[in-house]
Amino acid sequence: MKIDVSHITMIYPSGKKALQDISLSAESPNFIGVLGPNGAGKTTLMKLLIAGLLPTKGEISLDGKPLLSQERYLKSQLGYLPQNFGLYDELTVWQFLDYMAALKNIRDSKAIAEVLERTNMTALRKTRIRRLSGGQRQRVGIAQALLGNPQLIILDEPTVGLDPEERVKFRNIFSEMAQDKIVLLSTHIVEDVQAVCNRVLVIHDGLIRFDGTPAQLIAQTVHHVGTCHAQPGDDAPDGCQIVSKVHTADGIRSRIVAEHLPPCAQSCEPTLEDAYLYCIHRPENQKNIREEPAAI
Amino acid sequence: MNKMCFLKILCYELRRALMNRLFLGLLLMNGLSAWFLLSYDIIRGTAYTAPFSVWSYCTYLGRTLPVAAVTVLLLLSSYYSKKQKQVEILTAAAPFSPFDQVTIRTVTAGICFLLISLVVILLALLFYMRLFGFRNFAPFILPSVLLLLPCFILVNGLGQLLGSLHCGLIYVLMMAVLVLCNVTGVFDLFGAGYFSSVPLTLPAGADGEPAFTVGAGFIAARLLYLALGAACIYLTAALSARKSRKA
Amino acid sequence: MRLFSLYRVEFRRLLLSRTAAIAAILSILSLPLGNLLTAFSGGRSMSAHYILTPVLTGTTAGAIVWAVVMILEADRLQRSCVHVLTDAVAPPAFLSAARTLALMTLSAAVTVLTALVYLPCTASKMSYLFSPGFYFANFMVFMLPTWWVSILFADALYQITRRVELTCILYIALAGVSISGIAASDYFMRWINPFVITYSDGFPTIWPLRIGLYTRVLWLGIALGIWLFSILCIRRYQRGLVFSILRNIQKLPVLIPAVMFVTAGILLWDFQPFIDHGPDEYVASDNVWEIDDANRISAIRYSLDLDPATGTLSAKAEYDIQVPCRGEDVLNLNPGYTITKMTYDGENIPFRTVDSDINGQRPTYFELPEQLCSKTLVIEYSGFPTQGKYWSNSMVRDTIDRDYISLSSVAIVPILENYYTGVDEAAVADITIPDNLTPFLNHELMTDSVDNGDGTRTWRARCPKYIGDLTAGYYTVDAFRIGDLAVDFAYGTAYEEIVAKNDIQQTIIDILTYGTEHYGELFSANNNHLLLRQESAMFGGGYALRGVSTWFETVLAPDTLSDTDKGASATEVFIHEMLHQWWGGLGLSCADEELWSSEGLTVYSTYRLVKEKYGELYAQQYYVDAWKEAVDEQNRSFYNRHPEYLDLLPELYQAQIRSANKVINQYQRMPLMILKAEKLVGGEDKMDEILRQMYAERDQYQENDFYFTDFLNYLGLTEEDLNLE
Repeated sequence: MKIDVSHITMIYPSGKKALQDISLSAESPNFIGVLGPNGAGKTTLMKLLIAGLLPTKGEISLDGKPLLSQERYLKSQLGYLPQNFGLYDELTVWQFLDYMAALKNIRDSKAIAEVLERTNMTALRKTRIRRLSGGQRQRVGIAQALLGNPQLIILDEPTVGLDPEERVKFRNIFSEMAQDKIVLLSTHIVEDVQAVCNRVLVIHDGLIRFDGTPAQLIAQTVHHVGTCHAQPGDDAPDGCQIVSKVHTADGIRSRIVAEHLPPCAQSCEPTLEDAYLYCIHRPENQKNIREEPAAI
Repeated sequence: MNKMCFLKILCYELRRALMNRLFLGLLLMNGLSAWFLLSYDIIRGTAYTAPFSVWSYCTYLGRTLPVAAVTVLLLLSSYYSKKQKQVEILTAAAPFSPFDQVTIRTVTAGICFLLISLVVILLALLFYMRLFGFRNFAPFILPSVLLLLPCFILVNGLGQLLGSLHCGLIYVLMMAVLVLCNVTGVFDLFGAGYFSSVPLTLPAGADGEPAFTVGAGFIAARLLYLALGAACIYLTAALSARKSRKA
Repeated sequence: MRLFSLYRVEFRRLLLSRTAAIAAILSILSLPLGNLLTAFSGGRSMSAHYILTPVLTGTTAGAIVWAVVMILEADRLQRSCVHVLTDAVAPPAFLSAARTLALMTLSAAVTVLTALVYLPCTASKMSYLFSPGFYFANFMVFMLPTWWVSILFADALYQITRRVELTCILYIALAGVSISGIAASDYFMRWINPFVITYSDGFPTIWPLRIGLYTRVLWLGIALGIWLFSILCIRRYQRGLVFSILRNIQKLPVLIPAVMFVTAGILLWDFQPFIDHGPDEYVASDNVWEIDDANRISAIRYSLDLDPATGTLSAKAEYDIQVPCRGEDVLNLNPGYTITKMTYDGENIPFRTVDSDINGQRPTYFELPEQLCSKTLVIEYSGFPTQGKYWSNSMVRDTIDRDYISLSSVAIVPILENYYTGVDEAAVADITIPDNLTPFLNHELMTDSVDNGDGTRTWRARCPKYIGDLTAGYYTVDAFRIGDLAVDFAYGTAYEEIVAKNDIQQTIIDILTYGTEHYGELFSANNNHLLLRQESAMFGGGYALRGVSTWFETVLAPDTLSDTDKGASATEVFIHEMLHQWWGGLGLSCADEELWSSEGLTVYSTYRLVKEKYGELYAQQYYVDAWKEAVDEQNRSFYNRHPEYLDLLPELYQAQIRSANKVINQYQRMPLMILKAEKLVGGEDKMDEILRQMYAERDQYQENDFYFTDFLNYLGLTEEDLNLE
């Protein structure tokens, strides 16, 4: 499967410009992590990819043909987990998945058992959804997204509400699935991207600030990350983003990201989080910056 | 969509619609109000005809229809509620066409409506049998269909169309239904006013009662309601398809 | 303090709420709807039209509106998921209570505002009939408590079910019981749409307000009790209903008050003092008292002391008994009265009152020593008079008010059933009432009085029979003569201007003259005296007895008199009642049969007079055609065509249908038959001749009434000749 996004602009009726002339290409297998602050345009991009919105300008094609002309085909190959969703509280977990399977035209009854197993919900299959905790409801959401072995999986904040162990588990499941599919994972949790994604998209203010591998993003940040000591009440050095602060006996040890590190700062090895912060706060990032995606 | 899948979805929708306290409460209320109507009003006979005449039966059915219509609208309102919209975020990502969705909702609402109507009709039959020993129910069939079907199609169609625009409009429609009870003549949607007034204009037959007839105007109005309702249902599906992509 | 501070916050929020504002506007605007939906028919007084109908409409509409607001407000926290925040700050029970109390306060403010909004218009329309106290009392008695009851019920249902749709359905069912035919004329079941017969302009009584207030307090008690219980149902710890109740009972001391309030409400219902506990329909008495002529009451004296402030009476009646009956005696008294003492020849005698109310009477059994003759039985009794169940939904017959007093039969004095009621001497009555009221006792204007100097006056009268009625109100009495007949025309002082303006006196003269000319001199007048008395609108109609004819108050209502195209209007009711002086009572005493009664002749005579007064076309349209339509309807009625099915119906329906048939037979079918007879006998003049003869020979029929067969004999016709089919 191949998806091409070509010069997409999305302006909502209220006038808000959610996406500005973005282009990207993805072909299976691919596990793309989409990073960006709130309001960056991540969810808008997701909705465009599932044909939930019509772009103001530009085109999205699926396997070379316009997406909107293949909506039915797209949805038959799609597994989607949005950020906010509801469930039918009066049904049991199994019944709800059965219902979703029917909607997806999946006739194989083993498909439900399979996703229940994968999401560790087998024991809860007869439990009514209204009795589930928030994390369990999230797992139901993931399970329905995985129903029928879809070729395109779009996950918007899928690990919200999951404990760390479950997060790791699901990361691995997604990673496993990405071996022969396109998986788009939108998240705030940088570790999720770092651990499993082979490609990172950083979106900010409707623009793609970075499109490449995590290693490439980190590489860009070398010599732009450092640590420095300060006293309580001191302001942050100009042009610096504080990543973290640790209060020590000697004062406050801050980890900072900047275009030009101040003299007091000591350069250190950047992490993906540092790289992400550096990327979205770089002053010259006004246009789409595209790095060649790494070949898989 | 595959037939089995379609049926499965329909079963789940029916389960959600029928197996809840609200519907059971409405069914009970319908039954009680129908019984009171029979015991206090229809028992006297409509327009000087027998209580078990087709005229009286149709008047009775027409008087219970507003409650059934409101029940259908209540059910439809749940399809356009905030909660349902949240679930639709998931279901919209499935290859489930808006036309199928509207069809399933229509069938579900129809079955609910039918159930309620059956209860009402059975009560009448029981009432007639018990009180008057009357058993000749065959003449009731066609008038029942004539009253029930157009009413349901129109109310369902309008309900779905308005609900797809705004959930609150369904409640406005409910109020309109209660006002429509007072409309008489051929455009009487529920028929109670029509069937209680027409016999007064007809000559009495050999048995002292006017023969049951339905005017062409009334039938034409039913056809119009059917067409309108069907158009609304189609429009709802079309609008849903368009709306799902609107920002 | 916690609850009060929450209440303040909620009240302030409601003041700024758009929903509450809309509710207030809708409530205020709903008042005129009642009169828009029910056209002024001329059968209603000004007070009923301008105060009662709008207030009752606003009461019911507002109750529904405020209930909707309550449900929306109660659900608001759940709907917006704010409850997760608020529950962490304030106890849910307190918050709920504060919200409800705030809404009740707001509704009270809206009630006052509504009253003020419509005050100028109402005062202007009613002019001199307007009373500000009475006007505001209606709002405070009917509207405000009903709105509160509605709010409490709505909130209670929501707290119990926690679902908006279920709450709405249950509320609709609850309201439906009140509004539907089940509660039709039941004062107590109608919680959302209070039942009031009407109001009187000329003879104002606060009886409707009394019972209205009583029923509102009753329902407030029940609603408050249920609401308090519902507070226990507020869900805790995300658990269900039962757990929450069990948990809340431990923390909130509301269960006992809840039970107390509900119990109080139920007890108020059960022990209500307004209406007796008799059957809904009039019961023909099976009792046949064997009355020996020897068992006579030779004299009766009674004194009534009426207290309008409480609506009660305390009285003493003395019966001089010549020969006591053998065995147990029975007397009947108004069920609202209690016999406090009964003595015979100065000795207390035991008695037992049986709670078996029939036709507005309650029996008390006692036994007099047979050997003691020519002694005096003294009965002391007091209480608040009740209305008979079977008439309570159409009239208020027995009431004691500051401005109006009406008592009849056993509401005045106990009736000794075993004793011959004709007395050798006239019964002596001493009646103490407010000094500004004009009293009539047994259809005679009382004239002999003593001013007690304390705002009351004691009136004394002597009456041939002690069973009768007492009416006192603001009357103006015009006396005039028609030949030898002395006429006292008594009408409400409020109508003086209307009487003068419409020359009512002349109308009366016309009617009496017509009757005398066509049927003969009026002998029913008591010693050549006739009292024509306007009856309060609360009485529901008119009647005619020896020497008196009463008529419905609204005959003199301005709209009635000015509207001549209404057909058989209230003015013609007036004529009808007056013509009963000839046909019925002690004129020609007609038997009460299925088809035949005094009504047939009276309706026919009314038609003849109306024909003379307003023309043939008018009479044809509003009488003959109306009779034919009614008879046609009756003929077409299914149960009349198939009487075998009538027997299959429940008794209640059978009785209703038969009763309705009887009314049509007597009031419409028989006049048509008489009209047919008129043609068969040779015309109006010939018919008048026959009627004159019948009236002249009426004495023959005093003992055994005048039957239909008798009428046919006079006509020289058979029943088949008069068959309309």
